[in-house]
Amino acid sequence: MPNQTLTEPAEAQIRSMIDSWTQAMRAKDAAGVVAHQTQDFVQFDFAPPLQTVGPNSKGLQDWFATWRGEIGYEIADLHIIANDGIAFCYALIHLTGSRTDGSQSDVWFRNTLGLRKIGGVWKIAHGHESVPLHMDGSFRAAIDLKP
Amino acid sequence: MMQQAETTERQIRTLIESWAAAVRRHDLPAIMAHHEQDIVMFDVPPPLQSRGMDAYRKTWDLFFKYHKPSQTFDIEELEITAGEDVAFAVAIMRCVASQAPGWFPFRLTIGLRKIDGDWRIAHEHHSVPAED
Repeated sequence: MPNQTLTEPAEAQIRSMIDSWTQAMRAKDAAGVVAHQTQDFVQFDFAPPLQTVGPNSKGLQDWFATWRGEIGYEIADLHIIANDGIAFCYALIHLTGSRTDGSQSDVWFRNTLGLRKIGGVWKIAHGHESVPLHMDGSFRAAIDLKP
Repeated sequence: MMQQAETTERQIRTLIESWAAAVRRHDLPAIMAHHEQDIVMFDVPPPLQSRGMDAYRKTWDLFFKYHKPSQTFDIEELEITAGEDVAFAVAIMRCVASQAPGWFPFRLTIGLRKIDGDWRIAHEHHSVPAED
């Protein structure tokens, strides 16, 4: 069915790309995550630095190494706004699992993606992940919020 | 086509620059003039998300407790990726707020759609990296 992807609505194509990307996150497959990103991918991560440019496979591998077993990485409230070649989407992500230091993670954070269709394939050109900060002067990360 | 893309990018850049100028002078009607009613805002302070224009307005009521008119709320870097009727903008911003010493940088991503010939903001995500 060579023409299927041409007629499939952009939103369905993007949903399927995001499924594949989140599966790679859960499986701690850095190559699988980076495969969905553009070469000039700009990342705003929830931890410093302020921004990174270019796929960061090493950074992902280091982060994956802090998890024991699979990572719980579930998307909620995914909104996709797309036209023929440009799209953005936003969602809440529920991150759960066991860390190698023995602690348990259970955090909701916000995710926004900017997408470009390149050679017929949707790619992530920009990713923005964050948790709110408490504005009581401490600037502590608000990691206990639930939607 | 190239010229069309440049015009679109300039329109969006102007919209975001006037929005930031409206924030600096605490002009709420001008801040909210180019948004979709069902805007979803991810802001620096809690909550996780603010949905709709009433909730969006409240995020600015909160911000103005910490930010005085004409204090810094500036665009440092702005990259716009625009199609015919969908666009996103990625920015590094600089802000002054009373709880933080000096100015601090934050990240801003804006999602826009063109409706009836006008670009409208459908989504904003403001954040500061978490240190812990």
